[in-house]
Amino acid sequence: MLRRKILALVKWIILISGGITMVFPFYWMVITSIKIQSEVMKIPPVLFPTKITFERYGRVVGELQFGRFFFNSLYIAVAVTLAVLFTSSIVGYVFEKFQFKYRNAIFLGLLSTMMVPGAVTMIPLYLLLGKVRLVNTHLAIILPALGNVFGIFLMRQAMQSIPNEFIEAGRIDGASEFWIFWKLILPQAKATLSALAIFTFMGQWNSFLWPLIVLSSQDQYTLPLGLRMFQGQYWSDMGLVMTGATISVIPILIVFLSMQKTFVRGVTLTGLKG
Amino acid sequence: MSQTRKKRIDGKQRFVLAVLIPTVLFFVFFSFIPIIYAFYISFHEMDFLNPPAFVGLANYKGLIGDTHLYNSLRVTATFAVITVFIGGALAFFFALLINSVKRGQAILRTVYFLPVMTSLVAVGVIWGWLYQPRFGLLNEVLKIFGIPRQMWLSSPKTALPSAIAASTWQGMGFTIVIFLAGLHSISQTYYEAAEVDGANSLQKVWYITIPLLRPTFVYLLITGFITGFQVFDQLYVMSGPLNSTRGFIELLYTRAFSYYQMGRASAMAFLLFAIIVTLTLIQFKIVTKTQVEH
Repeated sequence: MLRRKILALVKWIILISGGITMVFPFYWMVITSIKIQSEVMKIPPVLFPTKITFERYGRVVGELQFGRFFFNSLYIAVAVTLAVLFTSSIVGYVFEKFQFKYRNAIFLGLLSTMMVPGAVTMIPLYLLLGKVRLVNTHLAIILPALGNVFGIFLMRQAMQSIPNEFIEAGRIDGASEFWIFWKLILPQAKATLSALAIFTFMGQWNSFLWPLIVLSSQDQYTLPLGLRMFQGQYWSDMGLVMTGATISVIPILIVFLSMQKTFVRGVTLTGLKG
Repeated sequence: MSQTRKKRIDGKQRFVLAVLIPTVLFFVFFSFIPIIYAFYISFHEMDFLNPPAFVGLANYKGLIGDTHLYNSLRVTATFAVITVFIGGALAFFFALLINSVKRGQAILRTVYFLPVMTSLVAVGVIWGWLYQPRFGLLNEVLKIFGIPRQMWLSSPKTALPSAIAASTWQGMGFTIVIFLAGLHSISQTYYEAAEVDGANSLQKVWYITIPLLRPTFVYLLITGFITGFQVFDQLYVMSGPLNSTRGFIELLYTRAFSYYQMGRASAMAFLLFAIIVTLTLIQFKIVTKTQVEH
């Protein structure tokens, strides 16, 4: 019995230390951003500041353009997410519920593109987008992201569990095919849609390499690009850098905390990595 | 009657075509043409100034004996192996612990998942600050235990392990959630039966949990290597001196977009493709072979 209690105690000590390791870097980021300047680089470090200031936030958002980066990131992520939800669900629906020639061949063709690493298409896509003068515009990010094979695959799976009777009933009532999809089918795929939404949004919000390639002027930057540039420029002023980091991290953490059930279901449903 | 029927079929066909044609066109433009174009580029010398010049296999041959490439492959492989095996083992350990507690599972899962939501650029910035050799918090913590100051990301020796550690911190929660889903799907009756036979906790993990979680392990192994070999953000934002953390994609990116060696970089991209496909096939082989033996 005593042995059991000791084991349980050890278990909790490990779990809590692990938990602190997970949370502490965020605490350190936020606290560094609101410390007064003299305490930021103090040795030994100040764990609990006596005085706090929000001065840096005004400066980072306004003068240092983080407001702009935030807006860019937000609207690109929202546009891509809405588009991916629509295209994935309607294409998944057509592949699951309609019979047509070469259906499986086309679907396999789409799936096969998932095998190819992004590094292969990166250079040619950049060159092709350059030819139509889209490099250094947000369209260079949004356009290639409109269709998502993984999303199509996921939504096709979700459509499997929706009975065909719904479609038949709609047709008997004389509804148009699009209306049937939009009003009768889509609402039933909500669970998968919300998982797909979260992961598409998160992936786009945090995306770094492709924006780094296609965006060159600073006012087009998204948050990760802005933060990266910022780190290079103000590396000696950790208070400012951490303010930028907080602005790019905290909103998505709040979204996560408010929807975490959907999140966790999403991970297990999709097994999708960021 | 037959007329409305015909109209209905037309409506269906129209709908399918209206969805299918843009879809196929999209993937032709954004996937198939770029893949073919990449293949074309890899046989040419290409920059932004001059018209492409056919060079045959030169770009591929140039990869042999390319020390920068070998170094980047070593960095990338180290990253992939450590994150898959050590990161995976850590995640499995924490998933078992979380799964074994009666209260607080949801909150623990949330806490461990927080870093997964964070952009890798932000992770690099935050950990860069913690790792900072002079004012960083980690060295102060080490001081408490009497351990000398470390250079972390600023020394070629410790940079890669430091970057991998921070990446593991970031990605572990994802693997934990996958493991937890697998653990929840195991029926309690197996454990009850084992208890009747007098099995201890370790035996239960070894003889019940691990064999039954086999599909989860296989999935994480294969996807872990596929994503691990394509790592960029983590190594780029936590870069150490002297190419010590320069991975494959970063080298490819630098060659393509800083030195405008588009042909050479494309050849590298196909090499990466080949490596990933080969690794995946080998893993599948091993997995199916051991499955037969069981």
